[in-house]
Amino acid sequence: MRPPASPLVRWALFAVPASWREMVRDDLADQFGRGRLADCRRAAHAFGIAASLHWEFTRGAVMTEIRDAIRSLVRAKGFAIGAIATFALGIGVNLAVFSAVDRMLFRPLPYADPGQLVVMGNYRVGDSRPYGTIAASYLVQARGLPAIADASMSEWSADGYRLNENPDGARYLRFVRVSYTTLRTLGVHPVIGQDFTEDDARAHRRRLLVSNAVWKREFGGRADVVGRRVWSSTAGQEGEIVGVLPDNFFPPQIVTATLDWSGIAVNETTLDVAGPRSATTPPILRLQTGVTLDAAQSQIAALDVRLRASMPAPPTGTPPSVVRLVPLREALFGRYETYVALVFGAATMVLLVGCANLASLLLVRARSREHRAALQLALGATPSRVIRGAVIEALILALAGSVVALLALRASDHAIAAWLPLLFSKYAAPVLSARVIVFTALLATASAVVAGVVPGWRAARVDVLSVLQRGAGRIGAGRQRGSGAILGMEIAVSLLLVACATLAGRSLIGLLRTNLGYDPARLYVVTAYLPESTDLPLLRKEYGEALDVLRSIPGVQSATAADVLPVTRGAAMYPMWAGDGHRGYRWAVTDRFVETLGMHVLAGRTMTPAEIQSTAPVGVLSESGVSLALPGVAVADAVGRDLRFPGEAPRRVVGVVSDVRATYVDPTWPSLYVPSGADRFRFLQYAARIAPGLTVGVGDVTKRLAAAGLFPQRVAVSRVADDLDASLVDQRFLAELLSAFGLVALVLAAIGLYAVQSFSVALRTTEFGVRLSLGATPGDLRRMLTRQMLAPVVVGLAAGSLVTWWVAQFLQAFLNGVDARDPWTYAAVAAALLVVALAATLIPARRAARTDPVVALRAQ
Amino acid sequence: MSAAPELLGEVEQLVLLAVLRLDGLGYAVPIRALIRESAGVSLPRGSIYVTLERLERKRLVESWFSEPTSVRGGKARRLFRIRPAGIAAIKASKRAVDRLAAGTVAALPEGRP
Repeated sequence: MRPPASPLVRWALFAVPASWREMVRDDLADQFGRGRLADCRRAAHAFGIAASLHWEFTRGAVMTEIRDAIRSLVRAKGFAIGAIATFALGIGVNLAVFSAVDRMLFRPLPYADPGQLVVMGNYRVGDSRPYGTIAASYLVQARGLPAIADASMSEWSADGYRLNENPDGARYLRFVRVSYTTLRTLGVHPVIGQDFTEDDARAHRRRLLVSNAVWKREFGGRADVVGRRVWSSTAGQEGEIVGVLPDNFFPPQIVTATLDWSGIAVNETTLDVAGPRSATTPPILRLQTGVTLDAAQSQIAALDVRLRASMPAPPTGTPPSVVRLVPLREALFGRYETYVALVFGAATMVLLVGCANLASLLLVRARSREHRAALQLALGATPSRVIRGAVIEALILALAGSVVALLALRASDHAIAAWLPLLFSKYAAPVLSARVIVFTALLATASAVVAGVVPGWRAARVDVLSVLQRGAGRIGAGRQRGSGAILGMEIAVSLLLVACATLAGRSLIGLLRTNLGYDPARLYVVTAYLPESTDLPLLRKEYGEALDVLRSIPGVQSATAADVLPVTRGAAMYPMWAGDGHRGYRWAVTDRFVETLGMHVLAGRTMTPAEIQSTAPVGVLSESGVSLALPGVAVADAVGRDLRFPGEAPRRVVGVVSDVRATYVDPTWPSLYVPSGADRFRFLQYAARIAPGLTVGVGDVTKRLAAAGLFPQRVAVSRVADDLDASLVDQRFLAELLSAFGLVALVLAAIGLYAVQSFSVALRTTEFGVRLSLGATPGDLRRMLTRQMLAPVVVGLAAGSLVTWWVAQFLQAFLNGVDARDPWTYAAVAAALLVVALAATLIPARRAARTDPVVALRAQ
Repeated sequence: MSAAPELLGEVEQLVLLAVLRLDGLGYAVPIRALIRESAGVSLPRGSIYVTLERLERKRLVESWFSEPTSVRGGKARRLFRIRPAGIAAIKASKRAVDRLAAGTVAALPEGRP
């Protein structure tokens, strides 16, 4: 006797069409031996045979159905175009989001063996973001550790270079300053030319590698770009291009990301002055092959302990911190995870509305073709065949919609890239990448199956007898439930999206109205690094002269200086006070500080030039500084009080000014402003308010400084208003994105509503004729229809409100000063949607009310 | 034959010839083995079944269940044999190919330049 087949094989054989099952079983039994492996092979073969036989049986029928579906869609042009367009809208939104997310989360970083790249950051205890800078000695010492193969860093700032010698009207390309080891650490090779060398760094040669895009755009992709001279924004300095970077390369910047970069410039200032106080951006390290993160971490921890022991104690009040290694990808994108999840979630909701819309359109169509389905069933078609027909139709529509979406996205590639904020545009993939197309195909197929099954199932369940008796083209009343549920869901999701968009918009408006405590209009920040010197009096004189030069520039109405300006988001260097968990900062400033920044004096006066000059023991407190430094003292009474700091003479408070926040999203710090000179001069920043209609550029400042005999290492000029805009990029994008999604959802829902109602009105003409001839007035008819049509809308609004209430917990983290569960917002959005729904149903309802009973009943 | 019925596909020709050769003793396993040995073509198992199904639907072959054999544990086996229409179809296909090949190197016997 033949041994009985294993359950696996029996299960596989069940898939084989009955007429062949016996034979396949015998053949397979002959072919393979016994054992588990043989059983698996037998089952796999059975599945393969089953699939080919099934396709052989159904191929002809499916092909006919596809042809039929295409033919009938071509006949119903209006329906097909509407369905394709609305589905394209839904899927297009998802494609755009996916192409960006794909790059950020799934694509390997454009570096060799990126898993071995880590970031060394200084983390405050209990904080997941790296804390600004790290002492440069860490970078130098880490290079010597056995676990570390290489180390590099890129600075926050970029150098400007122009392509022509003549500076007038020149456009500057921005080169991110990096260490000479950067490409080596990342495992990247220039496509043309060569990498930076240690000699370049030691000899302070100004060597540059241009990005691939700039190479193609500015140099026409020619090889003779190597060796080209470029001119620095700092007068009298020339740079040399030594190579071209690969196409997909971007400089890994952890803390800030330079939006517009043209290449990288070798720079090693940090390492040259790697004394105890010099600092660097968090460096990127490459671990030795085979070394785990934990092993490297323990070596870094030991280094941390050793270095901290040799460094001067941090100022009191500095929160404790540790140096940690974090994988590069996590450091680059980790903090955007929730953000991306929110965007993806919203995009999925739009697709859901698109699917619901397609389903409701198909449902309407299925109802108009009930007669045909009934005929098919009466002629012996199985219900599964009727469902298959509906799914095939949905598939064709979905695939056509996807193609439209892909082409539209490709055409608008540049427009989208320009609108996306840095986070997305930097990583947005070209739309027609293989992965995006596969994603589209999967998404479209899934959507089509979802959108096709419900209408197909309903069509397969028609009561054949009653439909055939009623005759073609007519339909009974009160058969709205299937489309009603879909419409209700569509409205619910629309409410969710529109409510989220409204909340994000309100949050953005609220941020824009935030009181900054200073006046950003026409305010510029100028940074000038004069050559290092140990001669403090000389430095102080030079920085003072630079301020005078700045004030002499035509158009500069007022100028001031500080070690760090509180408007630049730069961390103040010295804590003001070490209280119980409170932190305040002291800023060393020159005269006209309060006036230039446009801060408000709340009590007392500002510091006089004489006080600044003599570094008198006086100070100006900010409003919240008063409550920190002088608890229980009113603002007006703070003037004239003395502040006592260890090791200093009592400092007299001469005035109180408004609190300042660097940007709309930053907190205010309790602050104490003291005369400059009481502190060091290393990072002196200048603020200047310019006359209306004028601008100040790096060139002007550099030229005038040079005329005064001052040759700074670097000059940077930025407009405060630009920095403020940049700080809102993410918030603005979220509000705009959600608004766009909400609008798409709203339009789709309105179209769906209108389509369903106008189709059903057209099919119920006979019923209206009967009602009118039995004495119903057109007004009765209109009211009845509106009532029937709005019922699912009202249910949808209620359901949508509940879902939004639940989603609010995730949204709240992205909102500033707005309650994600604000009932008034929900009510307003629901009312707006109701108005849209009413408008979408009114037109068909009016058309129904105008039915001529004679014409309608003559058709009977 | 000017209005030839639809010509056989490549796999159909191979399977039909194998059925003809096995002369009523053909079922899936020996058909596949014969095609592999004689024609040097290794066909996927599924395509043998699909082709047999199609040929039977075109009424070019017919199948019947054999007498139970002692070797196979008393189970009947579904065997195939060619029908006259199948032979005609093979001939038609062969003729069409020959006519097209006539006078070209493809028509020369093997082993000559």
